[in-house]
Amino acid sequence: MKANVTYWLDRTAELYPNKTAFADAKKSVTFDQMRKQALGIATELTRRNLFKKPVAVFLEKGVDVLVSFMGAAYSVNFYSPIDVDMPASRVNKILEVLEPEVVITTGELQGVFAEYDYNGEFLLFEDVTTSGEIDEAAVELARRKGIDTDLLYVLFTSGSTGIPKGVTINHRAVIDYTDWVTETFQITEEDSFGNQAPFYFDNSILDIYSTIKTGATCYIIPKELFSQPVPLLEYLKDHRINTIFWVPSALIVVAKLRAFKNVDLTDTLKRVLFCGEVMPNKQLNAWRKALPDALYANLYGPTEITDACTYYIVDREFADDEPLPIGIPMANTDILVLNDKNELVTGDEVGELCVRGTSLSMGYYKNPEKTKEAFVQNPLNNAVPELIYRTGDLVKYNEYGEIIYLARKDFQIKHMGHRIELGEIETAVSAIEEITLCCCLYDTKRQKIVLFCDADLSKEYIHEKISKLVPEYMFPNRIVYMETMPINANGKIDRVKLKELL
Amino acid sequence: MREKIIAVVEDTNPEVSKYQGNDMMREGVIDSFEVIDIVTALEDEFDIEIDASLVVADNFRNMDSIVEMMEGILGSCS
Repeated sequence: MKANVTYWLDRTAELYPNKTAFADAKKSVTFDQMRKQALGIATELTRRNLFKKPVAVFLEKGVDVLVSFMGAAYSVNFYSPIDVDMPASRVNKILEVLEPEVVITTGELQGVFAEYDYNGEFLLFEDVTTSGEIDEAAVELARRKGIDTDLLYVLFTSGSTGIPKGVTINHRAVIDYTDWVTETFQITEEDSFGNQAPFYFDNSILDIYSTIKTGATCYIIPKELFSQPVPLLEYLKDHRINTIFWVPSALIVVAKLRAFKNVDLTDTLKRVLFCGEVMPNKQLNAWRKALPDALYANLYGPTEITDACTYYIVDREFADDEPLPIGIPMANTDILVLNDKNELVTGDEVGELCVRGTSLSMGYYKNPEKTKEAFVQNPLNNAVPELIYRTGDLVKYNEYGEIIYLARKDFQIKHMGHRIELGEIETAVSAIEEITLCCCLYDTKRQKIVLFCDADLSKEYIHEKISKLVPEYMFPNRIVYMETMPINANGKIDRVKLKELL
Repeated sequence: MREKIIAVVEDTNPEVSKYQGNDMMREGVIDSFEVIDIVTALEDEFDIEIDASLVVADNFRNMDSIVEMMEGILGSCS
């Protein structure tokens, strides 16, 4: 039994010391180098008497960030990455909640961080990792005091009130999730990942920990390649990356610009996994046609349950206008779909997806009110205390017993007496050939369904196209053509910005 | 021709014409979806297909480099 994710790194560093663990555009580390550098950081954190304390990591996205994460984990402290491109106002709000004991950064970036509301200590990455001082005994003493429910990381998500919520995740949840990933997709030291997800976004957990556990190699793909489909696919080919776990928007760009005909990835890509938003079948079908032998899997889940809780391995044909299921629960995870009366749904009744299991976050950092709202007693268990996480996502079961995502609970509206899921309209509209991105909002004041989309189409045309998919009362009343859809920091459509346009 | 290309790009993304630098894509002035929007608009307006291999940072440095790329494509068509 492992109580700390770093035991994996000990093992892989012993088995494959000279194999590349992670590589970015500037440098790479072997498993042995990674372990030693992380122990260097852990030694310094332990020397400063930090144990179970928040450690902020303020570094350019790259190998060093991951070494710092492991340094925090070895010493049983927990990390929280702060993106160097994050607006100062958001950084300050995060610092106010997190109150880090130390910030791991470089001499160069320290000056930038000094501009924020922070008066605490720094740990300069280059000092610790080049001095080579490692006190393994002291670190081991600290690590053995830790248990698997101690925090590993805190990732901040946007809260509706404007104060970011710090989602806390412990070692056990990541161990449980990573075991599922590596067993389900049979990840071994022969595999290699192409990382897209920013490290402040929990999709990266899959890339990071699958690599550390199995001894695979993970290439951190330079961000600018995601706007350049041919160089992007060439990068995959050159580095022999066989597994990618990307947000759908990154996959959409490749499909939209028809980049497959420039680069043949037939013998390169083995697994195409995605998570983070709805993957339209229209674009997925383009991928499947170009690379029919690859495995495609749709993962679903909010940060609060450690990256993902359900999955669907694509095993049948889908029409462009059909929704892709989010599938079935992962091992050691239970999904309860509860209706308004807190009962399990029957048939194709719509309900809220709730999660039970080891994967659950320990709660929002220093935010008991928000924690109490989302992490609640399982209404089906009146015998012992047992928490479930209410995702706020509305779903239903299809005829195969697979879960179908419908919409956010807060996107359910009442219009002319009908209960409508805005997401259902979006699914219908996104099947229209000309449209890549769309978003539906409800203008409560004027009682109108407003559709934002990135193609200049008439209302009549859109109505005609979706008439086979949704009833007339769900037709958008107003169409707003957006030359460019606003996208938020996580690469999703920015609903808050669109709301301002109503 | 040049004016028409500029008009289409400007109409799709006003940020491009405002941009004074020399590395619009890498500096994050336009993200991947904005690139697609510009490409699609140009394809529709000129009834051409822009090969994916042309969608690289060098051809999207600024308005001038987009125009240059388009002139290359349109020149070889006629």
